[in-house]
Amino acid sequence: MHCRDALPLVLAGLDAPLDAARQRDLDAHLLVCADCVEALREHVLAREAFRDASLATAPEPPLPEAVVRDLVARMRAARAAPPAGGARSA
Amino acid sequence: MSTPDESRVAPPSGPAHGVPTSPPAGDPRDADGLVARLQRGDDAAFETLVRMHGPRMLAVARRYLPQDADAQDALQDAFVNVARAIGGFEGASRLETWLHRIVVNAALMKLRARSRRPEVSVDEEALARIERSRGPSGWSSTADEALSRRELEEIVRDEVARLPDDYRAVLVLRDVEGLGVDEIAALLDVGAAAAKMRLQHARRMLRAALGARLTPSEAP
Ligand SMILES: [Zn+2]
Repeated sequence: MHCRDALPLVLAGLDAPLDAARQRDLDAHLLVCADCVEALREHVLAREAFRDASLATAPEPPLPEAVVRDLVARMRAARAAPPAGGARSA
Repeated sequence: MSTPDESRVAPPSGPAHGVPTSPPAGDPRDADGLVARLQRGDDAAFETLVRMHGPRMLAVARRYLPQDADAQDALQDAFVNVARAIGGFEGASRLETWLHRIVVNAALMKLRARSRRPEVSVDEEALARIERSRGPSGWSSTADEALSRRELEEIVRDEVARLPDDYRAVLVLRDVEGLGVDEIAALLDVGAAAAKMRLQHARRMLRAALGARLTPSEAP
């Protein structure tokens, strides 16, 4: 297997399991190809760092008062005039 | 405008987020009957809901829409949808989960509405060149040796924010929301093959961007 065939499998394997034959071929290539191992490492590192950054637990600051008032006004207006075919009301 | 069903995007349940994966009998934040008050059209309940859940929902919208004005628009759409749909909320999911789905849908609707342009073209040759050029001295070792985890996370988040909208969205849906390719395809109203392709392009673009930013210069 060449790198040009292995890299798409590296990517595909990040989002869905590969079938057994392809996984076997990829594993064999990764044993002998440092470049493709590095590609896999970088993709996994990027994915994990992105997930962790997105899910960090820093508390969100409260919404500004003007934003709260605006959102509440929009909700009241929407509640007063539900669209035809919208969700059923209570 | 789509209203949320109770079966799609749930808040990510990674350890950092702390949302239980199995639905509890009742939402602990609803101790004062917030849902019932919202369903009765209690004005004060709308304000409580906005104050309690708005900041978190805005943060979720920002994952998809890094520009603050866009995220605010999605938040507005989300709360309007909440007001319209709260009557049908039956508690099959937690209120927080339901709100999460609503804001994700609102953000995706906004992305969809403004991406009338054709699919971003990927410079296959440039990406392939980058992929061929990265060796064992690629950026993963830089990330390990020269950056704290927090610094790497900041850089990655920054580069994801710079990706084209469609690519950023699939990465959030896959890597943060934890959805499968088929679920992503359904949410984006594209075929599974297109969703898979978009994910692969997004990953390649992100890796290339990180390579450009983190690979040490080889100039003498
Ligand atoms: Zn290779």
